[in-house]
Amino acid sequence: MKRRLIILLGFVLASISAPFFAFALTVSPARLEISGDPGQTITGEIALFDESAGESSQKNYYVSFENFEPRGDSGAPYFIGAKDGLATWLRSTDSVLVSSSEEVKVPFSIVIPSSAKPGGYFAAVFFGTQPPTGSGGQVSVGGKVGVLILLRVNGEIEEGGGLVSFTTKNNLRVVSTPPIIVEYRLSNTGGDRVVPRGTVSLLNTFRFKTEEVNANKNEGSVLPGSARRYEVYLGDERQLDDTGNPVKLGFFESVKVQLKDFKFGWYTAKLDITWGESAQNAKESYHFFVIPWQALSILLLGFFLFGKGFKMILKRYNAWVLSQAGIYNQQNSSQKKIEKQEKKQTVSSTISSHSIKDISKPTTQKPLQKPKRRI
Amino acid sequence: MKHAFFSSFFQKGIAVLTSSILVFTAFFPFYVAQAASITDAADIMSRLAVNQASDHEIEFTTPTGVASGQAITLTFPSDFDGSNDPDGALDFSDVDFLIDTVPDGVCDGTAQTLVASGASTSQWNAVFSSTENRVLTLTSGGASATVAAGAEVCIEIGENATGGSANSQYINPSSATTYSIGVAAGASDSGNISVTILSDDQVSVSATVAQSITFTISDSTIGFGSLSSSAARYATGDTSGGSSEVEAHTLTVGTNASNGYTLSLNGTTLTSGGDTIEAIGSTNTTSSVGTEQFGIRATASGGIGTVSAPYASTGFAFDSAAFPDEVATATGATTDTTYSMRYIANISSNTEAGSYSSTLTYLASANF
Repeated sequence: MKRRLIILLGFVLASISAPFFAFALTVSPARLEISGDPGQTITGEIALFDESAGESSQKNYYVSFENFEPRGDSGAPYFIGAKDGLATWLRSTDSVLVSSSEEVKVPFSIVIPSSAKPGGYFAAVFFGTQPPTGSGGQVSVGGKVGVLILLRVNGEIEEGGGLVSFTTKNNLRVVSTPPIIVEYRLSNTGGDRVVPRGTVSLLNTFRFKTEEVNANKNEGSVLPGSARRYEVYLGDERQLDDTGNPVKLGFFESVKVQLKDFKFGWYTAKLDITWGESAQNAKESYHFFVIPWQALSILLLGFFLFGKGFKMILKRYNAWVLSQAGIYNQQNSSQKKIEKQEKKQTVSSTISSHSIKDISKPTTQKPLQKPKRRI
Repeated sequence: MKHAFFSSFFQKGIAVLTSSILVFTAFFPFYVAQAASITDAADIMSRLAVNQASDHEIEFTTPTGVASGQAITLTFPSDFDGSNDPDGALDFSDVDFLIDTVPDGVCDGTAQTLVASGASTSQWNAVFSSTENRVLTLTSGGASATVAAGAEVCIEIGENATGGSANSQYINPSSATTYSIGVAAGASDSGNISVTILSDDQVSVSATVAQSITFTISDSTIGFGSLSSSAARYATGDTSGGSSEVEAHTLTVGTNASNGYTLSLNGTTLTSGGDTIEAIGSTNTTSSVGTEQFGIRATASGGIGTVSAPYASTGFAFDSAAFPDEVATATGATTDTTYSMRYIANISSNTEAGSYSSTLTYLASANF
């Protein structure tokens, strides 16, 4: 009896301490890349894990399929329903019951019609809950989490497309603070998705390669009939703001980053990528200046202050040395005398030059006398 | 006759020899050297594979000890190489020597000072010699450099000695078999330590982590309560609504997929039969009391996920024309990002009376 009470108390405490979620699901894999022949049936499994620990009841997750196409040029999917294509070739159970903290493997299959044209087909398998029925003034919220299926139907597939652009982000010709972000756009006019592979390297003013990074480290695809933009970071990545740009740094933060990854001068970013079965290739360069003005201004100020300080210390040291030698005053007075004499001479020479100019007729010059020889 | 003579002579000889021995031993007693074996000997190596550079931690107990001027000698068998480590040939600086008067099987005790030559009375000369430096001799410099009988000796050779990774090491033999390292301590103690060299001493371990995506919604029913044409209403988790902007619920998304994820929104504006409250639109718009508006906005925390336009600013949006519209995105693998969701509803004085509700579905998926 006592034991039962303890177990019951344990369940109550667990349910109180565990956070309650209306929807909490993990699916794996997040993305599947599959290829098959027309007429073939491909099978697979998707693992579901209910993250809502501590809840006693099972949840019913409904299975649905939707085709997708690219949204913009960032690699985000845009779901367009299931009228035709891959979404109609997918088969699975209608719904799956999953207990709290339980993993369930859901089998699925893709029945590729024998009439399917070779090329790329793209859809998602969604697992979601039914939103509750809302009453007055209420918003009912449901969730779905999807697994992307990237299918290639084998056969003769046309390939096309090419590099659209390669610049720094926002076409900057002058960059001050790392990271330097370069971006390129690749179009795909072929029948299946392509994944560009290659490098972006950075050459400094003296044409030395200072950095080389993967041009597509996330292995992102370009879907047929679209173009995709790839951003490549040269230098440490920084947190992005809402506009997708690295968060702006303060003056001294910029100085710190600039000094840590010091770059200054005329730089060239070089792109070298290949893609597709036929190994299409593109090479492009983009030139720009890196002027870390915040760090430079601090350095210049530092040099200026150091020079000033050094000069002042040197002057004081000299004065001290002379005073120790007891000649400071003497030298000072003799220096003044010399300066006075020099002044006088300058005045007299000015006068004499003026007097020469005033003479209209040239004076007859006396022939130079030979120096007397002393015997 | 002849036999008797020889017998008497032999007996006399024996007697003389015996008495001589007794007399000699009485005056000059024998001191027999007691040759003893080292005990608890072991060599702990950092690598056992052929041709690999390895540290050695050699421990043993010497029953007799090492007196002043005596030496400890380690003799590595043929094919151990102490001359060709990339850090250079072994020398005294690659060795540590410790003496522990209470043997405990642990390499500790009093550290001895080693020198290349000319040891003082408290120092030891540490010299590598023979082919490929296979013999290490530690010679006592004097009375203060001794090992007491029964003490434990530990000799470290390689990067485990003071100096660390800059030290040279012995390179293991090229054949996988058992080798015997000879140990001699002081005048009489000696022994052998066996080490087994393997063709491969490491096990490759591989594992695959599948890509996954996790999506969580904290609350599936939120509400505005009664809407008013004189004040904006904000949805709350308890469905009664509020007059100031507040988080209605949270959405959490995380993935280890390298391309990140996209969170999209699908659904309808507030609807009552055939009547609707107009969606606020595709641009981020501030609340306008007395005008029909239904919109959402979000803020992000944690991970690298960001709220997408037009839902990121301080105003609200509801771009139903673009549904399923992108609400948030992450460009790479990320830990969980929590999105704080806020909902606004405004009505005009002409809004039809009714029980308005909306059904929204958030979709989370990886990017391609």
